[in-house]
Amino acid sequence: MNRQLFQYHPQIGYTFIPGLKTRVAHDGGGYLVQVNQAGFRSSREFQRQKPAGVFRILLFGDSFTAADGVSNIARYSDLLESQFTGIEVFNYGLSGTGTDQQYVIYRELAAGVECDLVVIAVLVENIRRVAARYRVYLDAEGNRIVYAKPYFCLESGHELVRYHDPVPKEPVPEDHLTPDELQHVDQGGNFAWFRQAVNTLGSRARDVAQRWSRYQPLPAYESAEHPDWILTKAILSQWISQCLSPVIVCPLPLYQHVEETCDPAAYQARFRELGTETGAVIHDPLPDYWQVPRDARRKFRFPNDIHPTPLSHQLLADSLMPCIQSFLHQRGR
Amino acid sequence: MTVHVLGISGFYHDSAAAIVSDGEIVAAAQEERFSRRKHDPRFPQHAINYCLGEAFIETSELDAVVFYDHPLLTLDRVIKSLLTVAPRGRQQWMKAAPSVLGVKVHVERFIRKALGPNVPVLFTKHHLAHAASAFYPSPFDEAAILTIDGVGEWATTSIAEGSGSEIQILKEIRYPHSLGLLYSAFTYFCGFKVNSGEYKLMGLAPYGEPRYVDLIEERLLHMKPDGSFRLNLEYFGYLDSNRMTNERFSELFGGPPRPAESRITRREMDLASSIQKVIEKVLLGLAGHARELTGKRNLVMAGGVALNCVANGVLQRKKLFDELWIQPAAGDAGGALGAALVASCRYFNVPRKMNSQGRDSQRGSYLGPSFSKSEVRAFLDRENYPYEAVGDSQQRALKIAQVLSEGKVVGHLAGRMEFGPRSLGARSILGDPRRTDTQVLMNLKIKYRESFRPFAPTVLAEDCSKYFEMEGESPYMLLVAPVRKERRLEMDLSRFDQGNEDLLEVVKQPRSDVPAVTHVDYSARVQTILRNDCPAYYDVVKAFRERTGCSAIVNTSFNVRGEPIVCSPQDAYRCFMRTEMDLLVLEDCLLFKKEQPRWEEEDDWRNRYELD
Amino acid sequence: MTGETDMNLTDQTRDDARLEEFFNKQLVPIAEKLREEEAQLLALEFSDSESSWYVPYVDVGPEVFSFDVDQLEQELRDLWRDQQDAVLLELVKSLENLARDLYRDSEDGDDVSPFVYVMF
Repeated sequence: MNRQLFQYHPQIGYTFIPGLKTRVAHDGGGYLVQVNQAGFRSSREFQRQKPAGVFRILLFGDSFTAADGVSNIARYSDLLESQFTGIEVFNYGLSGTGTDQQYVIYRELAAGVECDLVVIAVLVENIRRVAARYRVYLDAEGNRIVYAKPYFCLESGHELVRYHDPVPKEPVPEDHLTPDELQHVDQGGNFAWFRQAVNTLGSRARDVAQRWSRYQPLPAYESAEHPDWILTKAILSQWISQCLSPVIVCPLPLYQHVEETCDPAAYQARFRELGTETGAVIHDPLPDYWQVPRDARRKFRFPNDIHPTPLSHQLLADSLMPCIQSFLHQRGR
Repeated sequence: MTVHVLGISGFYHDSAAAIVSDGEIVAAAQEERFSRRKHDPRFPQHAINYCLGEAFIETSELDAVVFYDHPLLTLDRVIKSLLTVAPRGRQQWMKAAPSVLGVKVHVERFIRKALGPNVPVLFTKHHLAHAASAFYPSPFDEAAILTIDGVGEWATTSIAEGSGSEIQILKEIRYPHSLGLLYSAFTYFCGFKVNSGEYKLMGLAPYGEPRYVDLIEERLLHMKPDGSFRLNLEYFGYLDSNRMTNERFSELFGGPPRPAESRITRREMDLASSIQKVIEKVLLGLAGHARELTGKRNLVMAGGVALNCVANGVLQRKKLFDELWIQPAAGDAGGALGAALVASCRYFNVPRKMNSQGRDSQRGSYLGPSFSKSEVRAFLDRENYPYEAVGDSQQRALKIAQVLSEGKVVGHLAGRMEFGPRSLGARSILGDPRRTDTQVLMNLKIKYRESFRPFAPTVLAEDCSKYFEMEGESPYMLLVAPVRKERRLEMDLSRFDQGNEDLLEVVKQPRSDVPAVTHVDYSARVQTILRNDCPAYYDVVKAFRERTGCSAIVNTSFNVRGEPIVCSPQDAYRCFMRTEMDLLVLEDCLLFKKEQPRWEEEDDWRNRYELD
Repeated sequence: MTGETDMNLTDQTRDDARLEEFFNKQLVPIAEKLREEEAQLLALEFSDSESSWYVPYVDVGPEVFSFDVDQLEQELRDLWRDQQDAVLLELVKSLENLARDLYRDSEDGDDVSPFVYVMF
């Protein structure tokens, strides 16, 4: 039996089920999940008003930030809290989302929450989800189900227009989708067939194949003019511009980048450009991963699951800490 | 620092996990409920996951994981059994060795593989675990302890005494002489499945006459005045073959075993009746000796034989002890709880936690997972299943009671799932006990099981004596009591007595004003309920009384034949749609069958469950 | 058929052969020897000669203890030596080897036959 973790949400698509407190069986053994009434993994409720003297950070991201595979208290958000006195981190991470859905979360649920800093943790793969309008999930029996997701289009060259609002509740039979819509179903990457073939061979074979091919999982970053990056950048730019407090954008690398089996230069360049254009601080944790000897970096993901392990969360917390500290000091001045 | 101890049982039958924190029972569940494989014997990974989640602790916070059995002593018994019968027994060896040598002696490795290399792994002994599961959660500071099962290591029966946190095993009866195996042999011979059909045999007993009692006592079982016994192994197959009984046994009872699923004949009814009487007699002997030996006024029991609620009822009415308490998960699943309690009390010296109100500390045996209203709605909304949410529990209970009073059948999921084989309202199918057609309807159209099988009542504790000749409580449905004489109706059994073996003719006859829960011998397997035990369920029974004047309802486990009892709302919905139930209650949501979308499955779901 | 299944079948066949060999070449001769000596490892009598069939509980080791397969050989040896089952000591090494060889990383999916459950 797998407990259902998510519930339908008309604007976001879904959230965690409020009040859930459970352990999820996992490749890493299992992890403890506690969800607050807002529908996010947290042992505390997200109050709008900030208590006096507290430095509050709002954190957004996908399953790397919500932390599939890792208990609440071992996530980088919670480690940051436990390592700094006087800060609280509201982790709005939601598994399976793209930057577009995370922006919707900010607009719908977090925009009015008092804070000192916003951290947008963009798993670099999210660019694919931003371009998607539907996502494929597997049900309890392992059957494919396609659900709509909220998405944005850039219209008139610059205006972000939201679609799937409200998000359709029912799954969409794939044969009901038009050829154009089918192109916008996130199947898991441009080389899905390659991944699938390799995945059937197991994780060790997958690693070997990755090293051999140096397969680039995210070609959309290779040009600043790629439509998926233009859309992602537009969403991030608008989001950053709407924040009343400073923003850190933290591009989270894939394991291929961490383990140096593919080149991160393209996405790093795009995020640097974003920082220059928006004024947001770009914090790239990849150099900190690379401080660790290459043969030890396999421990940053689970044996059969690419999500960050507790060790990886610790590294992310350590990596972000100086950056956050500088904002703390600024406030102190 | 809190001491967290995880107990596990498994690798043979009904694997389970339980967690005890600072002596308090936090959670317990059988693996089958999660894996959906009946009597699942495999390592209880899902049950462990649930227990850790309920306690909300990391594996690193566990002080120990305790297995309920001593692998070395089990191996000792297996080898000595084989040496007694070899060169016979080769088939048994080929079947058993991969489990005993390939799995059981490696339990520590399985545990560490699942929970990490640093988790402390401990072991205890089978009958000590059973004794602990009976004594520590009981409401008694002192008690005699009787554990009776098939076999665990060498013991098949143990008499112990408990005092405070101490348990001292005093005497035992050893393999191959076993009351549990004797009963299982008759279960097998009567065409039912060993380890799950024992309940059917007990239910069949009232249809028969105990005409084989003398033969059993003369040939199969020798009992001493002190209740101790031995079996005549010349009649049994379990020492040297893959069968419980042998040719001699068949000759003794007039032919070969009844083939499974074939027509039940008078012989099986009479055998069931006879072995039931023998079990009752032995149990009384054992209990009498336990009383003499320990001088204690209270008795607690565990082990599979303690699930024989007919014998338990006889024992209670004999008043050998002032009070009787039986572990509701009396079988091997309860060994997980016992193992955790033994280690907590005896290894980590955590003081035994007793209920301050004088009740037991088993928490009504509602020790399994619950599903919040939000979770239920998330499921129903996602699937788009029509439901009516009724937040007010009294209103909800009234609506359910109305449906029941119309003769309809209700699936009921509320609160934490039960630990143990009996459904106690949290995962139950409910019906109107006043109707003569309820038993047949529920057996054939809901449970898809044999028509002769009786149903049990849940009765408001305060009204129990109005219906049944029983004093005190029976919250775990482990005691059978007679229906009060003034409620009984005379049955016409002339055709049956003249040799007609159609059990349906008997079943269909009204036997009392609550016929669906009155067995053919005017007995009932009673569950009494107090509001504190399971408020939502209590309210339903009470509302039924308000509507009909009847304080009892039919309560049977929420499953179909061969299926484990449902655990999650998803399981419950599936079972509801596969059967002819009319209403499903999932916490505060009511789902009427007629409003649900058509249920379709690719294949016949009945093929997925092996008949029990 | 996958390579993995082939491997499982091979393992199964090899295990069966080893178990057969152990049964035939080690267990059976010892069983016959014990029978010649009229030694009894199980109490099977069914007579009136005793006043009670209860046996006093004998505490074999502590109530709660640790155990792993590395202890199997020594503990089995100690147990059988203490119980004066000296003839069984011949089996210890083979049982220990069988235990090591029969270990599988995951459990067999087969149900245990209820008819041999006394063996567990």
